[in-house]
Amino acid sequence: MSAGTSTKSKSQSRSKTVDFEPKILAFCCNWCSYAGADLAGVSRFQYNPHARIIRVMCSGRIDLGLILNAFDKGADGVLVSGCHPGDCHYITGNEKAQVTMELAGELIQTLGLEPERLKLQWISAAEGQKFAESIDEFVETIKNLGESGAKAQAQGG
Amino acid sequence: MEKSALVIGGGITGIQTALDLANAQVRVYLLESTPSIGGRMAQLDKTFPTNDCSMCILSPKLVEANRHANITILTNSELEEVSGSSGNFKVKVRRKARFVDEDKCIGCGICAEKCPVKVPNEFDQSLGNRKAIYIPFPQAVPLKYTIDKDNCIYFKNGKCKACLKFCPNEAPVFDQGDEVEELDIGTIVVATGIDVYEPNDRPEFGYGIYPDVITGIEFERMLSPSGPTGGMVLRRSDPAPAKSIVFMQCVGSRNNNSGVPYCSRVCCMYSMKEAIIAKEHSPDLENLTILYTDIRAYGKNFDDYFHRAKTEHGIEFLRGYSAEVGFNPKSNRILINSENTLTGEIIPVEADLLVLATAILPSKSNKDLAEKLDIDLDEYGFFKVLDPTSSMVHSTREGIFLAGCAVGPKDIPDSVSTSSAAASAALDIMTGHKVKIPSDAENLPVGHADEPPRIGVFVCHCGTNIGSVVDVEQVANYAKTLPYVVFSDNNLFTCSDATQQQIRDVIHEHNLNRVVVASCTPRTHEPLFQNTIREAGLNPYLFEMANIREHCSWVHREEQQEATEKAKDLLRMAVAKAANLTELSRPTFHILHSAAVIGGGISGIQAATDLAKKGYKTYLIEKEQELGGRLRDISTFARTGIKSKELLESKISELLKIKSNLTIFKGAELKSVSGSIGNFELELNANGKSQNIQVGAVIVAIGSEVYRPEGEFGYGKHGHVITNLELEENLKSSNPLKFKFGEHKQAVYILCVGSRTAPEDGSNAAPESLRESNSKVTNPGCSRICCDIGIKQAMELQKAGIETTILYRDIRTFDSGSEELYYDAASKGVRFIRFDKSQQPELGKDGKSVVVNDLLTQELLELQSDLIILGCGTIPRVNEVSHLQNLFKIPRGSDGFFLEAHPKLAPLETTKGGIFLCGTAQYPKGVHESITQGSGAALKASILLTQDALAAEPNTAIVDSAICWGCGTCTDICIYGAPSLVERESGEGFVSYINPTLCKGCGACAARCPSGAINANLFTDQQLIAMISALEDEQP
Repeated sequence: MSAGTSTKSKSQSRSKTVDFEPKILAFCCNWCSYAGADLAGVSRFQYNPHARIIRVMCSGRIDLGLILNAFDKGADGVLVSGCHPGDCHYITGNEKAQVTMELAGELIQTLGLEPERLKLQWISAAEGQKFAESIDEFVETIKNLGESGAKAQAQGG
Repeated sequence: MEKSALVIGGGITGIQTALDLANAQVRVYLLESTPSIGGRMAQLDKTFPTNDCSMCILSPKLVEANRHANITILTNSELEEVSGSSGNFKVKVRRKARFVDEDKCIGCGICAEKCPVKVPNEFDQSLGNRKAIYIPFPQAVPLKYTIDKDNCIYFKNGKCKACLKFCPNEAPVFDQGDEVEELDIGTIVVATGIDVYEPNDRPEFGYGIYPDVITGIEFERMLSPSGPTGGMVLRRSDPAPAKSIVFMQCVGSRNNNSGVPYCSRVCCMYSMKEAIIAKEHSPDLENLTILYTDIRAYGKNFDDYFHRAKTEHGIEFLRGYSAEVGFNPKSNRILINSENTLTGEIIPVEADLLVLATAILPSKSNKDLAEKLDIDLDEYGFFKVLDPTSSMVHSTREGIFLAGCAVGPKDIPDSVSTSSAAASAALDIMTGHKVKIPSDAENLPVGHADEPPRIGVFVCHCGTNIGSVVDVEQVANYAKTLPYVVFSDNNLFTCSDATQQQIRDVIHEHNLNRVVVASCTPRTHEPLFQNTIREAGLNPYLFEMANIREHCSWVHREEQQEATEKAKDLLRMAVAKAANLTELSRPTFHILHSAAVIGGGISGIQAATDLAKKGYKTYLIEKEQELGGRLRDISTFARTGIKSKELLESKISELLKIKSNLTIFKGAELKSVSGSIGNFELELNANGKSQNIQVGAVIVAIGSEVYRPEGEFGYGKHGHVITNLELEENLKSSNPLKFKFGEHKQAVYILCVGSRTAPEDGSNAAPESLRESNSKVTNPGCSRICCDIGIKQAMELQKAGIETTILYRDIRTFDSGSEELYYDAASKGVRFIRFDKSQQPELGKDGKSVVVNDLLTQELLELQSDLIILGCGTIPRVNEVSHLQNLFKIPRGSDGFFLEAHPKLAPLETTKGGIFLCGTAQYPKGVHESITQGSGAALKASILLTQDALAAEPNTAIVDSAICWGCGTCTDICIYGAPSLVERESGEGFVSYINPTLCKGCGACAARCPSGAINANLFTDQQLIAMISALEDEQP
């Protein structure tokens, strides 16, 4: 069975239920947001289990290609999270991420995706609670939007 | 005979001292009396003023100390006897029986699970329980269990042995005895830390009478998510959530009659922190009140934290002191009759919990230790500093040094600064006993990655941490179905020594060329596993982790099925990345054994002295024609009364004694900087002559400026309105306290001029104007030293018959000896009047009086004054900071001072490798603190300079020259100047070259390279896309 058909059968059954289970991809910078996610763990802040984290050294590492790839490969929402402005471990990496995210937001709209599927969030290493809340909020947003159109397209839907 | 250093005390101060010495190539024994290192910091939930999780920043240090080749940790051990002298001590150490074989214990915790005895856990301040076989806290280092003999049933009646019965490794040994080891020691650093006052003897506080009255450290444990209440803020009398909490300051401290006179230095800040965190944990908390005497928010960003506590978090601050603590049976709550020291009114306050900020006391072990070490204690029982003006780390005996709270209360950054300073002094005794640690970058194994991937997967139960939520066996079985996975297993503790051996064996048996561990966060455990696979002959970068604990089992406790699915997804993505990992090397580069110190003030002089003493070629760069900086303007020091001139002369002569390694440039200015860590080239202009120097490290010690109050309080208009600095110059003159503007009988001294200027609304105080001009730059925070200086100057005035009144907002005499000075001044007739920031004092009409609203009486007072002194704050040298910021690419904080690498644990480093920081360039501080930091920064630089070569990090950006267009986008993107365009060998066009010693590995260039020629090692496009592609399960 090919990859396409397997996800298709899954998504068909999903799309019938209102409460679908989204797949969220979260790119977290090593120094702040990934550490913030760790802190959420150490503090046992419970949050929605539908996000998958990919660690990068800096939010400035993220480019358009990675974001488009994520939607193409089945992400219903993409979160990019880095240090607060002024706190970047690489001084201005998060500013670069912001520019990328603005471009990416416009780009996904031209592809017919809702701009809300892409989110940039500043989360420090001390903000475990904020990490948990950010995931919960984002999952809620994506649930309200429903399954990503890109996924349907990739499935030939 | 090779000697080691001995560090006594395994708290953060002792750990940092041990790490500093070990990294400077000295063997160290780290002695700790309890079963784990970690000390007080391990007990803290969060740290102020960043609310960083204490354990999160501490635990990497614990792990590092445990893994360090030069450190031997002796826990559960005590000093028995010391003989010999500096450089040649014989030390006997008693290793108390653990009743557990450390080599056999794998730390799995089954023994504690099965042990039937529950006893109060000291680590939780007895608020929670532990078993008779125990580790003090989950992240204990070493992770070895200990049997508490006094409470063990077997030791009482000869039966039980449940621990031994269930131990998978037969680790418990009931007939283990104490062992006494004799060590050859060159130098000793005492870092014994503190005890906390428990006011059982003072019924007026209600402690020990009402269960809802607890101490700050007890509350700290309650706030900890791994503490006795799981982070819930509960009453102690019944387990109901607390709705109101009162925090009372100065319990047993700042009190000459019943308690200790000194200030405990950290209580104001930790009480605010506890209040903020309590509210975060329990949003239903309605009332949080801090009863205080003065708010001592003296450190960097502390005042900002204070503002935010008030404005953002709604914490109420009430100036008052408890007259009596009782209980209201009607409301079932603690009743605090608080005296408002502003108005004298008694205000009853009720609370579910009363948290007492009790005095910090010297460690009880100090007395015994002082006798054994033959060193002196001070009047309070802290260790006595030989000469507090010139060094805070020298004890009264040669070869024995003091660090952290051994000499008095301190916060964490001040403690670790003394760690490095003590290490610097200790290192000078150990020069003949250095041991090189082989660089871990040498001889990295290669040659396995080109074959098709053969991946081994290890999934961890982490005791019950993961296993109780995630179906670990299912995940491990699932791993077997993933592409390239040839082996998969699950382990109780993948990090145990036994599993490391299994991993090495499996690599050989199954000819693995990639390893994936699904367990906890790579931020703490990746180095361990990388080392293991390296020992098995694999390149350490052929390793990947899936974080199924912090990011999964701990945060999805109630959703076990989803958590298991997520663990599978995370593992699948990690395996996908692993299949795309490549072998990496770490290019090494030569390190110059020389350093430059920028700034010839007291801090810079100390740094240069310490460096040159250690044999490194040292360049001291001073812009003036004379060394000495700000101290040249000062008459005497507040706490010791020593003449500034005397200290300066002795420090300069100590420096100049070291002739061979030292070059001093005066009238010098830095023109340009190139190179990077280990190899900087500095171009400077010294008195019109151009000079080029090559150094391995740079210490920035440019000091600070004093605020110029032009136009304020009639300054500049009236001759009798002068600044604290001008008064200091006058006191220094041959004719002190004679002024050209005539007679004076009454002086008014106004504090906080140009300091604590941050807006009260809690908004960020970052003044954008910082960049524009130097003229009206203020310090948004507290300048830390003005209270001491003001009190000293007021006493001088008073002594000369000038009646002096000090107008203050908070008296912040937090330092050792300062509080005593404050009492002394008050007893000698110096008057203190408190004003509020919103009601600044004003100059009377003729300029001969000051009008102030007295906060105590709420009266408007007009104070006659023929001498007005403005206590001006310490501000950053804006232009110089900008200049160096641009040259070195080091960051500056929003207050305009240089930003240290970490506000708690790295106060002497910048984020840029090879550039260190000391003195008031980082933030205002006292002379003794600047000296401590000078030594500390020198030690940090020595750690770098003692090495011959340094390895670049593996995660740098790399260029595929075949497809690079030579467009130069990367050179514009990179703020570190790592990429440069070089001419192609063919001579046609350009190609980007990325200098691995400058590259920090952020990957910003890789993200923006238009040709796709740049990739970020360990985070390549291929690896990230492989992870993304594995987001959905493509297995049938």
